[in-house]
Amino acid sequence: MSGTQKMIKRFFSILMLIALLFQSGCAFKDIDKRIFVLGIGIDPSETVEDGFRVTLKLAKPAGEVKAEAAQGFTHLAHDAESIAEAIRDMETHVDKKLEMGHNRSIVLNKELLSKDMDTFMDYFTRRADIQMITYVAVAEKTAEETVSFAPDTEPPATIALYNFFDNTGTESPYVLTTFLFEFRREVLSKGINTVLPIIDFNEEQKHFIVNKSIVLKWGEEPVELTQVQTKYFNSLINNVSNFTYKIEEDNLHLVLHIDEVKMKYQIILDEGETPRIDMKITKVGVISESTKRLNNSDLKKYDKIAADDIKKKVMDLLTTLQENNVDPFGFGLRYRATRLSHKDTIDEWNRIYPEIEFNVTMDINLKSTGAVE
Amino acid sequence: MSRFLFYLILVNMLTNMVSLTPRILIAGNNSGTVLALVLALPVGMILTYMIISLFSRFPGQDLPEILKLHVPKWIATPVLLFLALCWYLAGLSTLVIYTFIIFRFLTPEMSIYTIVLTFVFVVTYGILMTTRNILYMSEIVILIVVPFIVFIQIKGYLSPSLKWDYVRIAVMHINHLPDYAAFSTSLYIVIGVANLIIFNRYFTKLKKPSRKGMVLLTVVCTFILFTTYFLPIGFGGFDSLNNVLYPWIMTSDSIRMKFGVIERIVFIFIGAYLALSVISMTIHWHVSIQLLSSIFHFKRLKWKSYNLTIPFFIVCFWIVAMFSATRMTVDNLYKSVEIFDKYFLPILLFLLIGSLLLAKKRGASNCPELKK
Repeated sequence: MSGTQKMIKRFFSILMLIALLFQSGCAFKDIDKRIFVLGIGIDPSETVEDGFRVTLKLAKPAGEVKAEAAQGFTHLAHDAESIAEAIRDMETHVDKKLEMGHNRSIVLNKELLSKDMDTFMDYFTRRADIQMITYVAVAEKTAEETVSFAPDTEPPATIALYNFFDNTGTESPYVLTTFLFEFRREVLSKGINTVLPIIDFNEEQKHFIVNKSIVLKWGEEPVELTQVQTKYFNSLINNVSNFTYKIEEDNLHLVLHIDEVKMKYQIILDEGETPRIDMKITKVGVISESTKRLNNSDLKKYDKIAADDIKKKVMDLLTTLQENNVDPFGFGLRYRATRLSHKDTIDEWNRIYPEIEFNVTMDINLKSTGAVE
Repeated sequence: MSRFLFYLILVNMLTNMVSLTPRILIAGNNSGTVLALVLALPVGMILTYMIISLFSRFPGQDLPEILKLHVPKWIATPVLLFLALCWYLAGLSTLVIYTFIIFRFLTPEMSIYTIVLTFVFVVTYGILMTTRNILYMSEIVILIVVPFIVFIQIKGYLSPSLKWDYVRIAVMHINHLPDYAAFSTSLYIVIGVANLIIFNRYFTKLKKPSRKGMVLLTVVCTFILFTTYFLPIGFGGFDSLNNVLYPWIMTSDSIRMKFGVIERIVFIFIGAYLALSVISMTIHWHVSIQLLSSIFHFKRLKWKSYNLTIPFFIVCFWIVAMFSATRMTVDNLYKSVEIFDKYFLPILLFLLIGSLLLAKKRGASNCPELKK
């Protein structure tokens, strides 16, 4: 290598090292110049026609978390014709930059669900800084109240709404989680309907209640699932554990605790027969409470009793969904996924689905009577 | 097969996972992308085999040298010029798309000039290195970065949010005739071995590819090509991805590290791919500048005893890069990459293999005593 070449290289390496000096971190805006948005609520506006009322839950800047006695949250709300306009206006209401990158929850008002969802959800998927793993939920009351509600169990620097859905805090079959990317793909796909959890809260006792869900239908009234239906749906689709089930027989009360749920199904279209879905469900668990002394050799009997009863509940869920013509399980997707594509696949499915029969095989497998007999 | 050959192919494949390739593939998801992928793999592997075995006849020589020895100049010059242009454009498209990605996702407040300049500085340093050092550098970067990428992909495949039904719907579109744009784009991904036109300088003992090497290469190519197309569909849905500009960024944003240091995986992902893109650009522009300097040598352009031909080309590279990164829109870029893949790539491969075959034939007839 010649001397000049060496010199040029040296020049470039020094130039690059100097470039490091310009790196000031945080993309040129320090953390004290930003305020973090932790939740976004969307309601229909009462003052602006066809507009939205957007509520932002903001983290109050605090010097030290340990010194804080109460939650450090505040909220901002504003009415505008679109989400982007509302947020742009709110930028003039705080002295700091609204930082959306840490937002993990979007709460929607129930009334908005039957409207055109593109008008308000587009903003969230179009913006690059909003995470696709944001939780989407529906408010039982209004989104503004839900977002700004502070439960008693929420110490400083934790956010109850995140803990509910991220499966690291509470884990319950009643709590359904829908991420923004799931919401997007399911709303825009043919052959599946989106399910969103419903967040309610108890004003007097100051806590959230998340145990119901709602199935969206594009441009139509959504279908609400009851607490029990939510539990069954969630345990089947997400294989959620911690599923408890109560059996009553004669004067015996048993509570089962299911740790493992497996669900498989197949769409069977035979010539001359009504189309049917064969669903096989396997649940493995233990007995967690009983009013009598139990015998381990009788487990098979309890299996049978539980299976018959749970099967009825699952059938009830499936037929309710079918009657309302919604398909949160994505049977339509499976139908498309098992046939070579052609133009009318989805129309065919829409004809088949209202008439399809369900054939559920339930297999309960109790492993023991718990720690005692 | 030398491991450095693998790196050349691997860098090209991985960099294109995030760029416009998945979007071109997904644009054809209702027509013939699946069959195009299936076709592109064997075609790509056969071409790779041909290129390696042709170059193994000329150990340690790059294409300009080979052509100078065996082919008349009036053929060699336009061929080399065209190849140089292709390689420059390949590097440029990587530069522009990664500039857009950084601008959109990492530093939205930074000036686009700063981003391009940072890239261009690092890459300029890279292309001035010797061919051998570039290979060593790519080895280091690959060793650091590939574990992250493999981890993210495994994480994606194991995620409960990945819905296989969407992937199966995509596979069920196999009954359409292959889509040409998707075919040429997937061919471009697997044909990274074409970088040998300059990098053959390093391979003084290049042998014909062994069966084991080809099998390994095919497996890796299949995995990466299919991941590029199917994993975004599993996360983003089949009907809903057509209007997504960066399907892979969206996919990596959908993968969640529940107990990771950071929950949002997309930043690790972009970081890893940035490193790879720098290597990819360095390789492409190194090839381009070496080809150019083999054609043109301005004797007058001198500063003291140092010839300024290469710096002159580098400045040209900078100006074009800066101009295109600031003026182009995502749509312009998409259309130009599509044109590049559709028309430039087949011509490029044809010229490359044709001129090598010609050189081989001429070489054999010029020195018949060697044959015996």
